[in-house]
Parts: sequence; C-alpha cells; structure tokens
Amino acid sequence: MSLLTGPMKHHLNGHKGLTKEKPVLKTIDPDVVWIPLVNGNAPCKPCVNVGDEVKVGTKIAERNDHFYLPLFSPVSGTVTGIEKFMTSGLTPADHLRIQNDHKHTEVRAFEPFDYEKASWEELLEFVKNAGMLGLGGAGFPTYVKYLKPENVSLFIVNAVECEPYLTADYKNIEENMDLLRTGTLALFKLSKAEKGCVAIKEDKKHQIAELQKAFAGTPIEIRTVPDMYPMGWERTLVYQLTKKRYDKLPIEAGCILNNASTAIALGNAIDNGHPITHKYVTVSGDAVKNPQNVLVPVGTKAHEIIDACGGYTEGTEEVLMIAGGPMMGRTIPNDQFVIAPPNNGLTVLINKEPEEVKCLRCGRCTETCPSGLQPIRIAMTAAIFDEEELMKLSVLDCVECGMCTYVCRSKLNVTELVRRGKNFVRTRQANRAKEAKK
Amino acid sequence: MKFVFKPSPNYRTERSTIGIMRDLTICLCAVVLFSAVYHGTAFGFSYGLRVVLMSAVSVIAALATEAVYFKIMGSKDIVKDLRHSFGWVTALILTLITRLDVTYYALAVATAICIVFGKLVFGGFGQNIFNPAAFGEAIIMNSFAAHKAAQVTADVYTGATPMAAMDSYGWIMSSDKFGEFVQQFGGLGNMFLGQYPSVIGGSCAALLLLCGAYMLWKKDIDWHLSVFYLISVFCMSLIVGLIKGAGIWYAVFNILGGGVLFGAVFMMTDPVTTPITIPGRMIFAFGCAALTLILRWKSNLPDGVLFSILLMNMLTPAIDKLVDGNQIKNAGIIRRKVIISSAFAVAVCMAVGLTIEGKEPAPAAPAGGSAEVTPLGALQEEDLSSAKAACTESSNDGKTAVYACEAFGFEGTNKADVTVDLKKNEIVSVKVTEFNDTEGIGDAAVTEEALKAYKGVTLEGNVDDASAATPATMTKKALRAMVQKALLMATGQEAAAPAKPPLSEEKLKGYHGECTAESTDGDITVYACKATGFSGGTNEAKVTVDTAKGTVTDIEITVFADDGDDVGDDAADADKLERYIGASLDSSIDNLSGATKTTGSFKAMVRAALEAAGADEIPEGGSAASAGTIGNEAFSLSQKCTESSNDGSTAVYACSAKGYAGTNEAEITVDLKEGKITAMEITTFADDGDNVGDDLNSAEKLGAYVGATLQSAINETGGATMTADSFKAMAAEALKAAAGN
Repeated sequence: MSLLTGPMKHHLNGHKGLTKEKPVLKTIDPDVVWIPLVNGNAPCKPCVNVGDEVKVGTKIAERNDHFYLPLFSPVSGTVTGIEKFMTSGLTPADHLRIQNDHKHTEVRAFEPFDYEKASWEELLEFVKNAGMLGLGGAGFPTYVKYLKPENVSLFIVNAVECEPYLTADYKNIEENMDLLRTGTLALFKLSKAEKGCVAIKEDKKHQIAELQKAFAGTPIEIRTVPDMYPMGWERTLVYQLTKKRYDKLPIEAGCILNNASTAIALGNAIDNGHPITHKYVTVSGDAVKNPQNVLVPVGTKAHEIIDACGGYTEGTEEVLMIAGGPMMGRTIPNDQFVIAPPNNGLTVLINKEPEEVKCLRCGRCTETCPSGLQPIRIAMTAAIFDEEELMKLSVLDCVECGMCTYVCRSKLNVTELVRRGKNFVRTRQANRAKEAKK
Repeated sequence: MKFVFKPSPNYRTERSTIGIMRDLTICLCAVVLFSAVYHGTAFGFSYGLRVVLMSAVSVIAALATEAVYFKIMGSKDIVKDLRHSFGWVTALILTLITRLDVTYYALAVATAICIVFGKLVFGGFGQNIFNPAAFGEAIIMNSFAAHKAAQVTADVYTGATPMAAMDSYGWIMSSDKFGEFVQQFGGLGNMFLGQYPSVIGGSCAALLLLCGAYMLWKKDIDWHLSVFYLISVFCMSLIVGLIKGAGIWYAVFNILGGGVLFGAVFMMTDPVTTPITIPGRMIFAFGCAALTLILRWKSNLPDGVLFSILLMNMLTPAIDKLVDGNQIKNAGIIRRKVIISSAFAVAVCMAVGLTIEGKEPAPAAPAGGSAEVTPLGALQEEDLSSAKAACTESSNDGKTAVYACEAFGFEGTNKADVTVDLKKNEIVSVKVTEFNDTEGIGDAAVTEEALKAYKGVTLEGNVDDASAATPATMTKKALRAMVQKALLMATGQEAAAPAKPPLSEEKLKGYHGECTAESTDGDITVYACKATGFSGGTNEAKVTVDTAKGTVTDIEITVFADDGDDVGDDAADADKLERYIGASLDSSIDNLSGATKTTGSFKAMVRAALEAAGADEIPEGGSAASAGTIGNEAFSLSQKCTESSNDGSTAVYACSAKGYAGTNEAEITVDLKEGKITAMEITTFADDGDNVGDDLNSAEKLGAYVGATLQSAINETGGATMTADSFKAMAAEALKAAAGN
C-alpha cells in the first residue's frame, strides 16, 4: 500500500464465532463415499476395480500426467462403481463409489518417516508418494513447489484463513499442534529457506501463544498479520511479510508457501504414516441449524454433513450452498456433491437479493483490489467486448477473490462481470492459438 | 427449499449506495437546518423559513422533473427509479450553493434544467459528466443573475461577501490590514462558525468539517480528493501569501471563505463526476485547487470553486484514462504521471499567483443597497433616495431646528423628529414618532439606545454603524435618509420639502382671496380679507402684514363659514393659526391634514393680503407692460362670442376659442359702461389633463382678467401659451363685442 494505491485489502466480518469455539463433530461415517477422480482439472486414474475390497489407506487412484499424485481410500469397504456427477468445482467428474463397511480397518499406505535424518531428495520423494496436496483450496500437488528451491529466503506456513465463516484450519491447528510442528519443520527443510514462519491473523491471540510455545526452539517464527481479506492470498501475504511483489510465482520473491492444514497432513504422514483421508470442514452460515466444524472422510456427500449438523434452518425458502467460504467458494445448485481433499468448508446462506443501483464510481473496488486492478472499469469494458482495452486494464491479473463485489456499494456483481471479461479474453486468445496452429 | 445458483462471491458489505445517499441527505439537512436557524435569528424568521422553503421548492422540482422524465421514458416503477436516482441530493446541494436572494422561480427552473441536462440525458445517476448541482448553479449564475428577490438582497446581502470584498482588494493585502478587513465578517473565528451571509449553506466551516468527518467515519466518502484539494489550496495560497507579504491568515482565509470547504465536502466527494482511482483523484485535486485559486485571483467570478469543479469534471474521463491499468505493475508510470500533472497545475497556479497585485477597493457603489462596505461613507455622499425622505421644519429658534421627517423603511413609512444644532450643523437628537417596519427586526434600530448613535452626526461624517450587515438595514437606511435630509435643510443646501411650492406659487384651486386694506400704521397694514371656504360660505379674516418685510404678523378669523365641520374648526384655532405668522410669499405652509379646504381658504386670504401688501411696492404695469394689449393682439383661434344676456349696464357673453387640446368656452361678464371685464368663468375647459394649461383654469389666474380692458396687457404664464392665448382671445372678443354694443 502506498499513497497512490488503496489499502488493497479490507477487513470483513468473519462470522467465525459461529463455529470457532464449538467442538469438532467427528462421528460422521457415511455408508457410501464417492472419491472424485480429479485433481485440479486433471483426471486421476483409478487403480482399483469395481468389486475390490479396500481398506483405510489403500491407494485407489493416481494422477500421472506431468505431476504425480496418489489418492487413498478414506474408508474400508468395497468399490461398487464409478459415477459421474458434479464436483464442488462445478465440473462433472467421475467419482469412485466405495461402500463403507464401518469397520475402519486400516492398511499402512507408507511407513512413518524420519525427516530429520532423511536427505532432501528422500524427503521430496516421501512428500510426493504420500499424496500431499495443497489443502488450502488449490489442491496443487505439494512436492512440485519444492522441486527447485533456489534462493528461497522465506518459507511461510499460511495459517491466516482469511475467508469469512471458515474455522477449519483453526480447529485443525488447535487439535493437531504437534503434527503442524512436524510438518512445518519438514517443509522448511524441503524449502532450503533462510527463514521460516507461520503467518496467522493477529486477532487469534490464544492460538498465537500456543504456536509460539509449540515452535519454541525451532527456526520457525510466528508472524502475525492484520485481520483483513484477502490476507491469506499468496501475493497479499508475501507482500505483507516481505514487502515484495512478484509476477507469477512466489518463488520470484524468494518465498514458498503452504497451507497449515497441508503441513498438518504432512506431519500426520511423517509421524503416523497416514495419508490424507479425512478433512476438517466448517459447516456454517445462517441457513444451517447447528453451525460447527466436522471431521469427515473425503468423499462424504454435502447433504449428509448438513443433516449431521441439524439440517437447514426451518422456514428457509432459498439457500446458497457454497463449497468453501462465501468470498471465493462456488455456489452449488444442489447438496449432492462430495467433499474433495481441498474443500474446507460448506457455507450455507439464506438467499437475499440486494437492492442493486447504478455504479456511482465510488472507487472502492479499485482501492481494495488486491491485484491493483480497476474492477468496475474492467466490468464496463467487458460489457463492450473490447479485448485490447481489457488487456490494458490487466484483466488476466484478476484472481476472482470477490472483493470488488463485496465492497460494491451499489450491489453490482463486479467480480462476475470481471470474470466474464477474463473468460472472453482467454477464449479469444485460445481461438487465436488454435488458428495459429492450423 | 430451493438451491439458488449465484456466481461468487456471495458475501457483501452492509454499506450501500442507498446508505451513502441517506447519510449525505442527513448531512445536507443538517446544513439546511443550520442555515435556517442562522438566517432566522440574524435576519428574521421569514428568512429562516425561506431557507427551508427554497430547499423544499428545489427538491420538489427535482422529483417532479425526474418523475415526468421517467414517465416519458416508459418507466415501470417510477417510485423505484426516483429512489435510485437520488434527485433530492442534487436539489439540496444546489439549494445550499445558491444565494438566499435567488427567487423560487429561478431555483425551480435551474433545478429542472440541471436534473435533465446535467444528469438524465447522460443516462441518469452514475452516468453524468458534470456535477449536476454545480451545473445548476452555473445556470442560475448565468441565466438568472438579475433574477433576485430584491428585498432579500437588501436585507441579507448588505455587506460584500468575503470573496467579493477580497476581490475588491485585488486578492492580496498586508497582514496588518487583514485584521481590519476580516472584522467585517467578525474575524476568522466567526467565519469558521459561519455567522455571516454567504451562499445558503456555504458559510459554516465547522459544520461542514463535521459533516465531512461524519461521512468519512461512515466510510461514505473517499478522503483523498478532498484532503489533497484542501491541502493544495492551503499550501499554494500560503506560498503566494508569504511571497506577497501576507501572512498565514491568507491561506486560512482562502480555505474558510467562499465555497472551498463546501466543495471539498459535498461536491468533490461526488464520485460520479470525479476520477475513480486514487492517482486520478490526486490529479483532480491539484488541478481543481489550482483552478480555484486562478479563477479567484484573475476572473470576474465571485468564487472559483464552482467552475474549477465543472472544468475538472470535464477532464475526469481523460484523467481516468491517463492512470489506467494495473496499479501495482504500472506503479512507476502512474506515479510519474501524477507528479508531472500535479506539478504542472501547481506551477501554473504559482506563476499566476505571483502576478497578483493588491489594490485599494473602489468606493462601494451601493446598487440597490447591496454593497455598503463599512464604515459608511460621508452622509452627504450617500445615495439614500430610495427611502424617499422628506422633512419639514417644525420649529426653529435660531440655535436648533426641529424637523419633522418621514422616510420609507422596510414595510412602511417611518416618521421622526430630527433636531439639528444649527451652529455646528450636527444632529442633536433623533426621536422616532412613528414606526411602521417589521416588529422584531427593525425596531432594534429605533430603540433609544440605538438612536444615540445619531447624536453628533454631520454631513461629512456618518452614523458610527459598524454593523451594516446586521438586520434592520432598511430601517437604518430610512433613519439615515431622514437625518441626511434634515441636515441638508439645516445647512440650506436643500429647501424645505420640495414637493411644496411657496405660497405665491401654490395652486389654491377654487379659493380666491380678496383683501382690502383696512388700516395702515407705518409698515403694518391690516387687511380685511375674504375667501370661499369649504362649505361654500365665505371666510373672513383680518390679516396684519408687515409690508416692509412682507410677512404676516397676525391673523384673526372674523367670519368662519366652515364652522360645524369638526375638521375645519380646528384650522381656525388660535394655535393652528400661528402657522401663518411669519409667513411670506416665499414660505410654504403645510395643509392641515383633514382640513385642506379650510386651510386653502385661509391660505388664499393670507396670500391675497401679502400680494396686496407687495403690490404697493411694485409699480403698476411694470413688467406686464411689455406685453401687447389684448385688443391689439391678433388671435386666430376661431374665437367668437355670443351675447347671452344684456341688461344695459353689463352683458354676459358666451365665448369660445381654440386652446391647446380643444376649444375652450367661457362666460365673460363685461361692464358695458367702462368696457372692462367684471367676471370670467371657464365653462368648458378642453385643455384639461394637460398639466400646464390646467394651471390657468383657476379662479386666481382668471382673476387677472377681472378688470381687464382692451387696453390691458395680460401676462402670459410661461409654458401655457396656447391656453393663455385661448383665454385672452375670448376676453378680447368679449370686450370687442361689448364695445360694439
């Protein structure tokens, strides 16, 4: 932030009190789980057949294109088929249907690992084979970030959790402090960084103290950041901690980041030889009867989780079922989708139609845009499909954080309009690339 | 239950444009309220009410205009469109930046025009290029400049506004002079509190800052533009002020005076017409500040704020374009652009600022009483004619004279007795005898305490009234007019009541006095006089005249025919008769109100007596001899006479002759033996309505023909030649006819 730019961030009411202090519900054990056979936009190939018996920890699928990612069964039971339906990313995908026998028989996916004695290469290989992926929302295979850690000055564990309503990371850290410590130190080693830190919002006073205790005597610092959105976004967080900007990847600014729950998952893999099978998911919002955090097997259907939380609030006529938090999470027009590893929340809100008026050009969207864009100008330019002007306005730098719609005083869907501009430019570029190939 | 699909994000701030406009409306209403209270207490309740009514008129005009427009445009929900168009905000801002003396009509028309052409034709709220309120005020300034409620101008805008006053000094003055200068607005502190007349809502800096702070706290407005604008106005005027030898006050005055704060709080925070990015707003702020000062220093406009905003509004799209793009990636380029354009604006402004020269203000030219700058100029220079003051001397003992004066104030005619010291030619006292101005305002000016201010006033000086801007201006003006008139009379620069002719020239229609000398004792002659009175009877009096001085020394009514008429009675009272004592042909004698006719009768007698006394000394046929005798004059006015009766000794002729406008007819009685006219009566007066000829058709003037022979010369009365000739022709014709008998 300087005199010429706005704050590029904004404090939001997090509504985190709805779930923050409540215990985590861990009794959900669905009869059937559906494992989405997809990572990002890449399909994963199942390595079990219909009718096969699987145990908790059995490798059931893997991604094997330019990245490698194994998926493990979260329950014990029988593979009963593959079904195609919509994921929480609003794309149709195959799901591996596993009938749960509720016996929780486990098989070791891999042995616990001594990361301190292991070499850097061995550790990287372990992270890769343990199926670690970014649990903050991206689902990006973790090992890829550490392939060439050169000139890394700061390794950051992102425990900011800036998305409103969500407290899954908070609860996960609270319950798994040791695993966080192990995972963080392992990733720190992998990053070859000069310094490491855990970034957390300054308002989480109690957890900051706990973290300081847990990380005492390690090279990992606890860094506090303001209670702003999108503080947890890589660029904003890197800038907050280092005052550096970068073009594409944080490594350009000498930083590597991973989410706290990814670090915990790695800690669980190292200490217990346990892959990612369960997820902390925040169920919150004014359309849910008992908002709380739940720990569920990957592949649990959303409606089962909602039912376990007391169902929808009575008298609700229209709800917004959001996979994730309300800012970046997508609304899903049903509750039949399943929890994939990157999911960390279900926000269910009563639908309210805001009173939309014309843009008064107040410039709030420009001031708060973490990418330094002028969303409303992009939105207006997108309406007239002026590609050249859109590129001048750097439309592709938008990360769809949702801030412009949030701050809009006139209640316009600015983010959506920008998104359309972005898609328009991308489509044009793709078409041109195709033509060039011909 | 239904799952709704909506693109992310699905979380919104509770703040809304509607909320911004609500807060803005609250603030504007607060300013209206302040203005109403201020104007109400300082100038009278009706002015407080006027503030509220003007706001209401403008708001109604705005809403009506929009409703009609939306209706024409085929709106489905006019109420919703009105709610989303925020026309009342424009109307309120427009009202607050106009002056209180703008008429309701002008305000309503300007509101309608600015709503349509300033906003709606561009596509309505959010699409307009110009700040609609500024647009409307520009219309008022340019199209309704003369459309002012004169009474409001006269009462409220008595002094110059800070901007106009500063302008008259060439926009710069030394710091020692400033202390005195700013006193006319009660000092900078008073300006901060807004206790001086300005535009309706522009004066109270404290309240405007409070409104700004409130809206900032509610996150309704962006601070960048306003703050940079204020800072740059302050700094640039400070630099110019310091270089030119003015102090820090100069910068403070530039902020507090005029529309700078109002513009910063209510107009530049209108995001629709200002750039959308912070760098853009900074460029706008610097440009606007530079233009404000340049327009103040160099233009004929009363203030530069309004037009600087409109000019920069025009540049807004260009500025937006200039600093477009990713604010992070282009940070360097954008910073450079901001610095270059701001530096350009500042440099131009400074260059212009260095050329300003202080000057002495031209003497205030009170046009419609709107520009009396304190202290008041010499009383004899002051143009107070609008008060229509008139005085009559009611007593004069040689040392002091008392004048009964009257002059028009605010609502009616006020009367006062003004006592003048004849040696020093200064006022001894002013005593208001009749007060007809507004109770509660004007009467403050006529309290004993307030009237003490007039003691010692001379024509060269003036009332020590440092508070010309305070209420009761019109009443004070009436008082000054009366004082001025009394002094002018006392010093002999002006004759008493010019409306009243001296006795010798006074028209005493229908009253013909006749006197015969009764006794003479040296210079003192007693005349027995008679004249017709009110009831047709004849009043008689003994008038004693000092023939040497030509003045009446005594008058005694011997026969009073008007008796029984209560009013006329009065005129015959001894104390009322005193008015005639000392009268000469040159003095003018007031008609006694309500007893005009009786007075006229008396006056006719007095005049006749005086004329008789004077006639002794004027050799007969003096100047009159020069004119030819009527018998020799050749008239070609189709004059003719027919004998209507003849008893041998006298004959009556009905005559006619062309006059100025038509044919006059007269009945002329001629003594056949002596060949002279004994009576002449005009029966048809065709020259009536012609003021000049009128004069001749009076018993008095016709008296000139009584006794006339063909050898007589009758003095023409200047200016009424045609009528006089007509009369003379008839007289001559009658005499000739008589001679022919």
